[in-house]
Amino acid sequence: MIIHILHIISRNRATTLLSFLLLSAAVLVNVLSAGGMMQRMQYSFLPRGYTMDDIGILYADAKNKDETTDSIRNVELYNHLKASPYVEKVASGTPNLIYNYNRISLKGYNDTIFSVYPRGGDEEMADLMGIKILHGRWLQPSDHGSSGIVVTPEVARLLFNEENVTGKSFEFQEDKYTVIGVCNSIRQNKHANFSPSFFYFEKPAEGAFTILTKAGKEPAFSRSLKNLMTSVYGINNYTIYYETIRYQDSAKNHYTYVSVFQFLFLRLFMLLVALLSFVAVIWYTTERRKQEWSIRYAMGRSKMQLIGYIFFENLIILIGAFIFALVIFFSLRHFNVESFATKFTLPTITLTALLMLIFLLIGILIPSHKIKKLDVSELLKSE
Amino acid sequence: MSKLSYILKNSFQKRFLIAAYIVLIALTTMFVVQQQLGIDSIGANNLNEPYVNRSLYLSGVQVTYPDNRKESFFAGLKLCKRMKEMKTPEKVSFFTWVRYWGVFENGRMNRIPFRATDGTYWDVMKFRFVEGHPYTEEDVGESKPLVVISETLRKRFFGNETQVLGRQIEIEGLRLTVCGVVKNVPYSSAYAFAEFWMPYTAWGGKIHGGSSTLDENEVQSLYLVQTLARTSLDFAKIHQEYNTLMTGLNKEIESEKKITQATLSTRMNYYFGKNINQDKYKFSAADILRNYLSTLWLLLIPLLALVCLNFARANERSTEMGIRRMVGAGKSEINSELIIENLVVILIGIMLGISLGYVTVYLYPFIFITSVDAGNLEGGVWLPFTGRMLSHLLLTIVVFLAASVALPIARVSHQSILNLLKGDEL
Repeated sequence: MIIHILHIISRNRATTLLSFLLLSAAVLVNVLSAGGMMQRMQYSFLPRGYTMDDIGILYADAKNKDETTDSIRNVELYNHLKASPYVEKVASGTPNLIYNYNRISLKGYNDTIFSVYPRGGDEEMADLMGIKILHGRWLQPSDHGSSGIVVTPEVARLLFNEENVTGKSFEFQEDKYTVIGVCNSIRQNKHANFSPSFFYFEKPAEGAFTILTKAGKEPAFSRSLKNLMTSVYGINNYTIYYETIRYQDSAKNHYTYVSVFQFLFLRLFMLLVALLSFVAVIWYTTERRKQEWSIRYAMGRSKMQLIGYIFFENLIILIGAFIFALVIFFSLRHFNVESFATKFTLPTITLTALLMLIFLLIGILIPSHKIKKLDVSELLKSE
Repeated sequence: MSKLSYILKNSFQKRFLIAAYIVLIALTTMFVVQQQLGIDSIGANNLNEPYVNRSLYLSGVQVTYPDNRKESFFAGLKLCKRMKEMKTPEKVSFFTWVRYWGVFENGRMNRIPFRATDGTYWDVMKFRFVEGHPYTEEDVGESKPLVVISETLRKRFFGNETQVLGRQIEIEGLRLTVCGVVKNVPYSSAYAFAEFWMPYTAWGGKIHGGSSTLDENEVQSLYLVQTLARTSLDFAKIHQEYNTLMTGLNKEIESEKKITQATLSTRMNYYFGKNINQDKYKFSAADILRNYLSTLWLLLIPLLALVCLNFARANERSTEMGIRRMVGAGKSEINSELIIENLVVILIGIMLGISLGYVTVYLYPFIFITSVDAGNLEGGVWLPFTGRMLSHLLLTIVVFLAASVALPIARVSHQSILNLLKGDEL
């Protein structure tokens, strides 16, 4: 059977070569696309290290600046927020999440420089955002004066090469900071890996707040904010920024999904073209060989054997194309071509192999159907 | 004429197949157009930025501190002002990247884009003023609280009034006097797009800024710098003067920090060039080649698909070709028919693809043009048709035509009439 199939393939050299090239390109596109997708979405389904539901971020300030009264007004706003019937909890400071990328550079234990997200907060913040303490304790008001901070395990390891670093100190811009606790790891947003972060105590006087609203009361709270601000700062004498973390997250995700969609749309189109062309080529070739099938059938081959011939003929082309595409892939990767450096090589190749097998099964679907309906007398008459 | 009608009739005989070809070519062309528009919207001249092709931009400044910490940001006033003293460019302007004034309305934030600029900004850009005029370099020097607003912002502040010159608007405590109103600026004009523009001295970082924006000793802050050359041939001279300037500036600040990366570059190079460094200020031959290769990469699978399908179709018609050859049709006659048949189909597909490409980018610019996070699309989008676009489309036509006819023509020409009549593979 193998010899017969190889004979058939050699008789249709040009068609075989074209199918081979088409499938090789399809394999290559799929390996790259699946690898790229996995790389982009690798953190999407992992925990973030905090909750987002019903949490809003508020920055408030007076328009007409007066340093002596501004901080008093900010504290007054904090008290008003606490007293709001829509609010469950309020923390001063904001966690600098989603698309706020303020970072500072620190020097690690081995003198390497790394970026850290500074995140504001007070004694309520951990509870409000569902952050857990792994070692030591969470922030207290007294930590503001003593520069006590809570770090994530990433910072602990980068600074001191160990995880439990409670009580240890480091210097940054001539100030000394003491680690008073280690909290769970935090993802800046769902498209990023755990990033080094630390929490410092931020007073209400700074005018930045994280607010947990009661379930379902967020819309009413956001509508009430204008009155709240007016009562504290005076009519039209304030600047305000307020958004829920969930809204910020969906805005950030919107951009990511748009770029993923653009990435996928093009590649899906290419795969679809490759699939349909492959199917069409098998179809054309089978149609052209109708008489051959009829003669074989008349000579005693079963219909399943004939379908097997088509399947194996194309399987051989597919395997050849797969190997050829992988050789190209690994060669380009060897030369450090950027797009070929995916981390997910094995899952990608497995996925591609499965997809190509589905290609083949779809490809032989129509010819198989035709062979099942084979009418020898009709077929022998066909041109 | 009768021959053409025969070819057309022949082309459209298998309607489903031809429709599939046209869709395949149209969608592929659409991707080519989208990709090229994404590049040209930033790299080519546009409605509000008529001098992109003869400008070098400073878009980012990286400094390294003595303890090896690195910080990347835009240019600061010290650097901007030094660059304004350069002799080789015709003009030098600096302005902020698009900033946002956050307005809290109906319980949600609305972001209104703005820029703080110098007075030369209005000479290196092109705006259509419907009222008044821009502020001048002198106005900026005197920190006059002036503002140029777009028609959309005029509507926000003044409703349907049309004579608003001299009127005041208040933005986050800043009282600004309207000196001009411009037509809305398309989102695709990357460094012009905004809804209001004001002197950087009047702004002072008070709206979505910071104190560094007025600090004359800062090399890093929030400004982009555009140097306008008399012709693009002056780029090398400008670049040389700039490098000398940077060496001098680095000597001045070496005790605190060092500017380690601040590339003055064409916009095309900055966004789409590879291996950008201090000396690579424009798109290289390798970048241009990469641009064409990326188009060929888009065409790869559709091209192979076309070759496969056309070859299979030609195989199916081999008996017909054999009979026509037998009754006297020459090889060149059959070949020219094959070329015209395919050219008609390809041209229809390409035209459809161009339309689809432009319409999709116009409707969804955020997906395809990556320069600005605009916040809204009041100004619409202005899409160029450049020489680069034309060359990429010609490449697409040639590749598709070659893919469609080369193999069948080559194979048919080598086959004897008998072989063609037998209906074997060509």
